[in-house]
Amino acid sequence: MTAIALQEKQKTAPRSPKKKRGLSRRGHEILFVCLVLFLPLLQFVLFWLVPNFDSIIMGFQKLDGEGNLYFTAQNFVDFWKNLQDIESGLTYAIVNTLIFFVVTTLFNTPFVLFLSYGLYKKVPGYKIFRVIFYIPAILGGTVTANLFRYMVNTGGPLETLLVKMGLPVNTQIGLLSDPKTAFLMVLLYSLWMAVGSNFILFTGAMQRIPNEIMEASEVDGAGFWRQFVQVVIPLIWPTITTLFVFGLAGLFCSYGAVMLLTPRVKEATMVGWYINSLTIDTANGGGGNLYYPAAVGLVFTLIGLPIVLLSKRFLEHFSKGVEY
Amino acid sequence: MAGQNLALNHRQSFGEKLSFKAEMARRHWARRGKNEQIALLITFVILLIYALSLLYPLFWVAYNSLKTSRQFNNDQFGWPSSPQWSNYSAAWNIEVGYKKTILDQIIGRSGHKVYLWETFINSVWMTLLRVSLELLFAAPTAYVIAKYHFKGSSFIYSLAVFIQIIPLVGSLPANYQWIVGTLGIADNPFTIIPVWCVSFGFSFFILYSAFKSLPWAYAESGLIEGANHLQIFLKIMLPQVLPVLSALFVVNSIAVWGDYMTPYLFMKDYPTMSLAIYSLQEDSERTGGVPMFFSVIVLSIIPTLTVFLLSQKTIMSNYAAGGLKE
Repeated sequence: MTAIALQEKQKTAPRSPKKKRGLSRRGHEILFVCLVLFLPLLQFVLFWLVPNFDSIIMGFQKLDGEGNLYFTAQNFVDFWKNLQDIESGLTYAIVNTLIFFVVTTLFNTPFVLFLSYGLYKKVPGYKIFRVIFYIPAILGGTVTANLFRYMVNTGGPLETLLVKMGLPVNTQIGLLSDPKTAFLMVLLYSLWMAVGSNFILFTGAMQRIPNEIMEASEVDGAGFWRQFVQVVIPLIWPTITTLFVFGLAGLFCSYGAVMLLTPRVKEATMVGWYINSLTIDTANGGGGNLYYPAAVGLVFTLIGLPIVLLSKRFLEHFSKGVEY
Repeated sequence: MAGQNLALNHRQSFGEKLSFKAEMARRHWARRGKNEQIALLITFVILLIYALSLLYPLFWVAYNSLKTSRQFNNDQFGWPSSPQWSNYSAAWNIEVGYKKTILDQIIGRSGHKVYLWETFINSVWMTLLRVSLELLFAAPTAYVIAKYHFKGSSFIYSLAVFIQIIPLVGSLPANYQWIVGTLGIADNPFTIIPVWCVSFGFSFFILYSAFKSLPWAYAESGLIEGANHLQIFLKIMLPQVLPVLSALFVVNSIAVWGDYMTPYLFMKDYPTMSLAIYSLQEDSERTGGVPMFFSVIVLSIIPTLTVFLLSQKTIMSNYAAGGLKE
């Protein structure tokens, strides 16, 4: 989503206001800027900075028997213990998150790129396709997840199809509850819902490619596929890399698919849901605390942050010089 | 679409227009090379399969919502023998929960049962409130950062980028503790307002590039004529990004309508339609069977689908292309 923002940085935007003003005029400007920014910055401090700073402190806190807070490293010890206990689900969460990352990067991104390219090349009926491909974004997670749930439920259309194809489906338990297939279904759902905000941004980026470039490559004899691989993809590379970075940043945070499809199958959990389910349990008064999930979150932020920043720098280094 | 073409050309009938368009499409098709035709056909087939996979479940849910529970359990594929439109009126009155709202507090009630139609009302006002607040805050912020050069402007911009990419894995527990526990401003449509005045989110970046692309010359002439900075923003600059603003309004509304986590944790007493679906999804006893649950799903997507179909042209032109252009 902030793909635009990063691209903006890579390109040199024109500096608009000229600085040739008297002191009083500058004074008015400063006053205006301060008045406008006061509340937004206050809001940012109160509802972003404070809670996120607090989440670091919370990681080192715990409640004692009488309900008093004390500082401890016990949460991290618990984390370490759960890491070695397969029943806690933490190991599954980490492995599944990594699988999820590889699958979405290897399949979802190329698939969405291909769909966008088809529309860009004005495949027959592209106007109708464009509207249809917005459906996942329009319906929202609770609706699409339930559509998927009933498709793969026992006796549902997709399940029936898979059984007819002779696949070993455990019809007694159902694909979403069977520990062997539950996470596969989460992956399938994510692939099915691959279009979405990325799709909007890819089509937008392709539309910005100047016609002359496409025409020139056509004159040079580049066909449909060659244009895709050698012209379009290199030209929208900055968009691809920025979306990759955002995918990476959201990796440990994503929980939606698991929460809506397989919330209670520990073999199918992911890091984001592991943390958020503990939070929700606490919010619903189901015991537990907010300090342990905060500590787990801190661990994964510390792992994720350098990876995100390094890959951002690395990819930006490679996409330099792409200007059109 | 067709109506617009007709409006442009009164003399041609709809049929003539259509055959003309078909002829143009045929010529365009013939002009493409053999290999390109094959590639386009392959692409078309893949796109078609994917599009059908998106449409079929919707269609399936829609016609199964008209069955009786027994018919659905016996046969998930056949056509409903006699359409049960009563599923819809019943769905409207499904009990979603028992809540105590501000209104209950004012009139001194201990609480009341929440039916599905009330979650629809909650969805409407919560969506309008959240989206308006975000645009109200993001637009001036983006304008000032894009158009005024002062100490810290680029720092604030980098900060906005940074908070988008930093993976804050543990922020939900901390946010819950801060908003619900420490401040105690959750579950109240008035006190929750500050939480929703998000200035540095997704809209900020879209509006930032929209403002950035505007020439400063208009503002300069306004300043010479004695307008102050606020007037310039409201009367000269803001009207120029109105198409982007309206596209953002629709896109954000659709996203907020589908959000279930925020009402679930922070506005428990005001369940929205998305949250209702989440809480009903495993409680088919309360929904009176699967077909009635399907009618809840259909009811919940009608508003967003209508808004999208009515405004999709605006979104496509102003958001997908224009809004992201520098």
